[in-house]
Amino acid sequence: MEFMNVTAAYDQKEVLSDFSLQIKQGQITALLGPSGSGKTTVLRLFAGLLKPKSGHVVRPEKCAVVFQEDRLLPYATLRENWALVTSDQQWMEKTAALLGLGDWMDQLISTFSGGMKRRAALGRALCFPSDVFLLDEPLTGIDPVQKQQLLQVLQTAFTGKTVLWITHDAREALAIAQQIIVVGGSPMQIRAQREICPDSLSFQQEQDALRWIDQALAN
Amino acid sequence: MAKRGKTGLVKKILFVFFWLLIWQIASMAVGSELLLPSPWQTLQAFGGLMMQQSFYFDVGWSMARILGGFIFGAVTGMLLGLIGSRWTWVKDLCGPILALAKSVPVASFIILAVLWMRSALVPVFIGFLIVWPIVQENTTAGIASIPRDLLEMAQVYQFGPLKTFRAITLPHVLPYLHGAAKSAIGLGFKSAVAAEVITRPVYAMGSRLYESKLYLEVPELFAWTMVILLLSVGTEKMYGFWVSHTAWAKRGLLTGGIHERNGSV
Repeated sequence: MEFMNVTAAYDQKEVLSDFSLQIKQGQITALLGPSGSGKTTVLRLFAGLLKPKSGHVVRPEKCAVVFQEDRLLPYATLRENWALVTSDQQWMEKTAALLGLGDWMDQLISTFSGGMKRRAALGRALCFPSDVFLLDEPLTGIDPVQKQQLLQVLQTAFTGKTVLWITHDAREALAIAQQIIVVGGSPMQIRAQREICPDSLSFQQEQDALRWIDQALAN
Repeated sequence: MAKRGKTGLVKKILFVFFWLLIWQIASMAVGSELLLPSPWQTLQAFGGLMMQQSFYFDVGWSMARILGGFIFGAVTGMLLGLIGSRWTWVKDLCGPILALAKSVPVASFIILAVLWMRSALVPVFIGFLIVWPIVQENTTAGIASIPRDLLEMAQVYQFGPLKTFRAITLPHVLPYLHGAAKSAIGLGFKSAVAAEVITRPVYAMGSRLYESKLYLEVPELFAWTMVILLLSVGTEKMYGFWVSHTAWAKRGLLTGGIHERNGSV
């Protein structure tokens, strides 16, 4: 997935101007930046929901997306929501168990709490047969304990997959991504980027990385 | 909850009895069956009607015409509503006709329709003309209420048109269609019977209404009016009973709750 000199705008306001970006295949890439910097625009361009004003977007034919909002059907059960993207019942059951939703498969989404809806939206993406995942603040609204558990589950689930993980939480990015791209400014620019190994990050290395991210955001 | 329901029913029955009492007093004050028959005289006339075989033909044929017009109008309204939401020129094309159908008095259409078609078909046509705009406008409003976010989700997850219709469009249109059906049933009855009164088909409740007036059989006139009222309310209640037992109702799809709950979507 790649942006080559992409310019994108909403009405007259340019969000991206001559912007280039490369997302490595088979890795989790975290796009980290302050709210309103244009990260969601990047996701919309990769998902094919927005056309660039100029430049070229190399995007996958098929990708699973977790939007900032849950975008579930409240009048349908969890099983029915997921069945819209896959017919593999076993895979659905397995995903539900992984996300702690095993007992909720036949419940209406309208009865779910905010955190459960978020996990349901994540589960839908995991059920969709795709090797590319675009996730916009996927863990917002989930409590810290569950967040840690989910990060572990997702790290396993995304092994070998191409993932763009949008977040403004530096610790979340460090916990899951193999590549971190820090963005900011208006129009959005890449401030810094580096590869990390989230599995073997010592406390000291994590502190250094956090300082590096803070500096990049402050620039 | 059950207690409140029972109290409500008792209240309703008491109110009906109150108005029956007023009717009885008024009829006694007028003192003429030809001007205002009493509830009892009306009931007697109703019993007399039910003893005649032709009563059932009149009711059967009228119901067939009313339902025919309703179904024809509902299907046309839904189809044009759906097509019009996809291609706006269809919506714009229908606009003047819908405005005409809504504002021109029903009697004008009935008289025109008498010139164009067989008298037995006029009530069907009039029913259609009343139901169609209501259903089309509500279908259009239902489609307009679909959150863009859900359509984007459907696009990303490659639902295709049929799955999008079944999973997103239909559930959003249903509460609007339900509202349309509730008002269209009553209006369909009123207008189709009015058309029967003017066109007087062989077997029709409207024809019997006209004859009762012609021969000054006022208790029969009241009895027929009661029959029409009972059938109209009964059809509405039957529709309500059927719809409340569907899976859609159990998911809150018919109450408009879908739009409130979509807040996060």
